[in-house]
Amino acid sequence: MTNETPPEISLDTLRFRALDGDSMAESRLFEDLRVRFTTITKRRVQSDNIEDIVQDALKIVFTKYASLDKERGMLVWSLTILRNVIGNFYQSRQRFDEKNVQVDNWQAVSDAAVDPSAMEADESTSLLFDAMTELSEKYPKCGTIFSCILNSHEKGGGQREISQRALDAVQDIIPDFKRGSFYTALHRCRAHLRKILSTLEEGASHA
Amino acid sequence: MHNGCTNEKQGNLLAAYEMGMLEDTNKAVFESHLKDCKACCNELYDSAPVANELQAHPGLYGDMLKPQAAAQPEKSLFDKIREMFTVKTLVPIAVVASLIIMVISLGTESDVRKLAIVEKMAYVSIDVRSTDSELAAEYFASAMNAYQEGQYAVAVEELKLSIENGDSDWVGWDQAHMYLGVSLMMNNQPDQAIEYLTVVKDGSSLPLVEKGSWLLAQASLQAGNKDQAIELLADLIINGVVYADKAAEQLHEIEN
Repeated sequence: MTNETPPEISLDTLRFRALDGDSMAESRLFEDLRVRFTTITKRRVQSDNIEDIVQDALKIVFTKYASLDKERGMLVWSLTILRNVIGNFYQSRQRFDEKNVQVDNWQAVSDAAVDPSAMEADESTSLLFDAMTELSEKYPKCGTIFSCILNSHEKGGGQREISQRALDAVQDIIPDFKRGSFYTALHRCRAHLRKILSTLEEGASHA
Repeated sequence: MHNGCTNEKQGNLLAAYEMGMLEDTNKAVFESHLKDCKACCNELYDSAPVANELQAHPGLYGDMLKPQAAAQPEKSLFDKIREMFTVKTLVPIAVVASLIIMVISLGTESDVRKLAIVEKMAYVSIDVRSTDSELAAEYFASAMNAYQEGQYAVAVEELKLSIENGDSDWVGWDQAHMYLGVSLMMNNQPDQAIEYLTVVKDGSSLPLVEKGSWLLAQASLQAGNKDQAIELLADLIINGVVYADKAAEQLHEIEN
C-alpha cells in the first residue's frame, strides 16, 4: 500500500463541510488553524504564553465561525481575531505593570474583547477611508479594481460567484484583462494601498 | 516579491486570496504554499484587519471608489473637435443637457430634503444640582416647557437666551444646543440648526455626540446638503452604536 497525502482542501471548504456536520472536516479545520496560529504567534510572543494565546484565539473562532458571512475568507477573518487576542495580551501585560489603572481603559479593553474580529480602533477605519480615497486618486485603475471587488462582495453569493462577477466588472471597464493579470494587478494595488496606509499611519502617530 | 516570498507565482496570489477572489483549486494550492512560506503568512497576518474590514463593509468602501473608464490612446485636437460636431454626438449631448437643466430646475435638493427625518425628540427632565449658570438653567426650563407643548418658535428664543447666559462648563450646554437644533428643524430653519447641532456633535457629552451627529445629518438633508449628510451618515455607520443601523438604512435610501 502506498502512503497517500491528504488532498489539498481550502479552509473555507473545510468550514462549509464542518457547518454541514462533518466532524472530520471541523477537526482538520481547527488543526490547520492551530498550526498557522502557532507559527505566527511564535514570532511575536514569548514561548510560555504561546499556547494560551493560540487556545484563546481558537476558542473565539470556534464560537463565532458559524455566524461568519459565507463570502468572507476564513483565514483572513481568523487572523484578525488572533491579532486582537495578541493585542489584548500585550495590553493586559502592560496593565499588570502599571499601578494606576484608569477605569476607562479597563472598559476600552473589555469592549475590544467583546468583538475581537473588529478592527482595532475607530481611528484605523478612518485612516482606511482616507487611504482608499488617496489610492483611487493616485492610481485610478486600482480604484476601479477595488471598487469592482467590493461591489461584488456587497452583492453577495458564493466566493466563485463573487470572484467571477468582480472580474467581469473589471473587464467591462478594462477589456482584455485576463484573470492572471487581474490577480497581479490586484497584488500591485494592494502594495500601493499598504504604502499609503503606512504613510498615513506615520503621519497620525506624529500628530 | 516585496514581502520576502521567494515563490513569485504564489506570492502574486496573496492579494487575490486575501480579498476572496481565488477559486477553490487555486485557494487550496495557495494555502498549501502558506504552510511553508512564513513571509506570506506574516504579510497576511499584518494586513488581516484591513482585508477583514473591507470585506465586512464592502458597500461602504466600494461606493467611495467610482470605477474609472479605461485610458484611451491620446487623440489629436483636430480629431477631438471633429468628433465633437457629429450628429451622433450632438444629439445625446443635447438630450443630456436638457435633462440636466430639467433636473436643476426641478431642484434635486428637494428630493434629498424629503429624506430628512425631522421629528420631535423626547425630552426627559433630569434634576441636576447646579449652582452656576442659574439664569441659563431657568431659560432652559422655560424653553423646554414650550418645546414640549410644541411651541418651537418660543423654545428657539428661550434656548438662545439660555445659551447666551450659560457657558460651555454649564451642565446643560450641550442639551440646550441639541434641543435648539431640533426646535429650529421643527421650525424649518435647518441652516441655523446646523450651527447649533455642530456644537453637540463636537461636544464633550459623549451620549449626546452620536445623537448630535444623527441630528446634524438630518438637518443637512433638510437643508439639501447631500454631501455633508452622506459624510455624517458614513461616520455613524462606522462609529455609531445607537444610530449605525438607521444611518445605513438612510444612506441606502439616499443612494437610491
